[in-house]
Amino acid sequence: MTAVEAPTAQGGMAPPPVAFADVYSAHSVFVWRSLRRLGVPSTDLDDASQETFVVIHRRLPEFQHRSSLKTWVFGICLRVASDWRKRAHLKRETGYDQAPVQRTQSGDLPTAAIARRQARQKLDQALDTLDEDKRAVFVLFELEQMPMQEVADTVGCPLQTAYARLYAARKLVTEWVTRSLQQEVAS
Amino acid sequence: MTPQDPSWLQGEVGDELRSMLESTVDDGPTPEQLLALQAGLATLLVASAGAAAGTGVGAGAAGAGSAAAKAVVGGATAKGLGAIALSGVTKAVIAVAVVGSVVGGVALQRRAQVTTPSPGPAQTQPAPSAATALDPSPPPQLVAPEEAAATPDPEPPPPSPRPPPKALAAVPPSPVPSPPAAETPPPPAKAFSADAELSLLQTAMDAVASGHPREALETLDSHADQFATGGLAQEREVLAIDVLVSLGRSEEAKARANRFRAAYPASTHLLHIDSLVGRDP
Repeated sequence: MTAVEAPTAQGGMAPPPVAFADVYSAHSVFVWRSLRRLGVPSTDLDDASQETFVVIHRRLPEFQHRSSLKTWVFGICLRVASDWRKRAHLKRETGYDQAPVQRTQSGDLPTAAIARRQARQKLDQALDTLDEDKRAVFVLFELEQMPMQEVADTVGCPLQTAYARLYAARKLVTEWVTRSLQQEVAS
Repeated sequence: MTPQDPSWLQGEVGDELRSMLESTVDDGPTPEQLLALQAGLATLLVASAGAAAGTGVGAGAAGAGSAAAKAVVGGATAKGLGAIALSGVTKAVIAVAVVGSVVGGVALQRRAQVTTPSPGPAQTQPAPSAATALDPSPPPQLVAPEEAAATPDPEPPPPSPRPPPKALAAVPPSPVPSPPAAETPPPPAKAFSADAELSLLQTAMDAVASGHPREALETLDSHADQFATGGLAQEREVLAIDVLVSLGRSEEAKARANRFRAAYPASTHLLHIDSLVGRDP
């Protein structure tokens, strides 16, 4: 047996090596919006995305095709976002973006844009009540609309656990919204 | 209850929740943000493409040692491959960044024109003056007007859902002893010509910036003749399409954009090109 016959490389279809540029092309938008949804302030997304791709570049040789590339990329997003949030807490009290409301990409009227911006900020706050595990499942299923089995693979837990996290996350988010609506009525 | 069951989105709280979930449609980057990100990662992206080309020629050359590499900068011989590749990378990084900012600037200028009603006649007829209005030093990072970018989509599509591995790294870096020869080996000429390729592109960009779009187009044509599949081919095409649009030659721009789309279906430049010429169904 020669070295070439290593089981991983020649077991029928050898997984092709993945080029960094291809990872970038396929997943740059996904990385950006995932970091956003995992709690990186929108003013930091350029830096955080860049950092994510630097990590991807460094670790790409380790990618073993055991999961889909997207799943693997999201795992790196999770860690970068987690580090980022910890660092942001040290730097300032609120990480939410303070940028003025502008016309959105979809060209909405300002009022609609403002309403959407407010809804987006509420979602940020609601998601911040979740721990990282629940947040990841909620983001992947509700926002990325990934099938549940893939969600479980991505966060590395059994399917039933992923379900449990999803339902718990929904409950917490719903409770947050209920509270915020009550406060709006009260004030 | 199944996860798909929408019952948790019922009632007043559900309405609020739904609007919160829907507010995430703009979570992705704008084309300008994407361009800036790409410019920031140019070193890695170009190195990725360069490494791929290097393996086809003889991977040993690149590791020949930095002292040797420094010694032969400028002497374009086969032995100097490592050095040439290095300087090529550096130049290409600059080029990508410059193209990014110039192209971004052009796009911004045009948007400003579209939204401003004042220029009158320039709206109906092809405006060669569009290019002369170029700010020679456009902002490299486009922050403030990001959301004014008038892409019609609620969410910018990913550059490509499943990209054929083609866009930036033309050759997969495969050290494995030949999986049944799929493609012809990469042209090693890429690494050698990087300097000349860049300087030609730079000439074209300078022509655009100084208000000579037609000269720029000629230069770009010459670039296309000499470096049809060069490392900066995509940047050349983006600039050419941009110039054609600014000259009002929209049919040519569209044809060129379609060829680009066919050649680089996974390119991150496509977002920008779509914003220039619109997307054909």
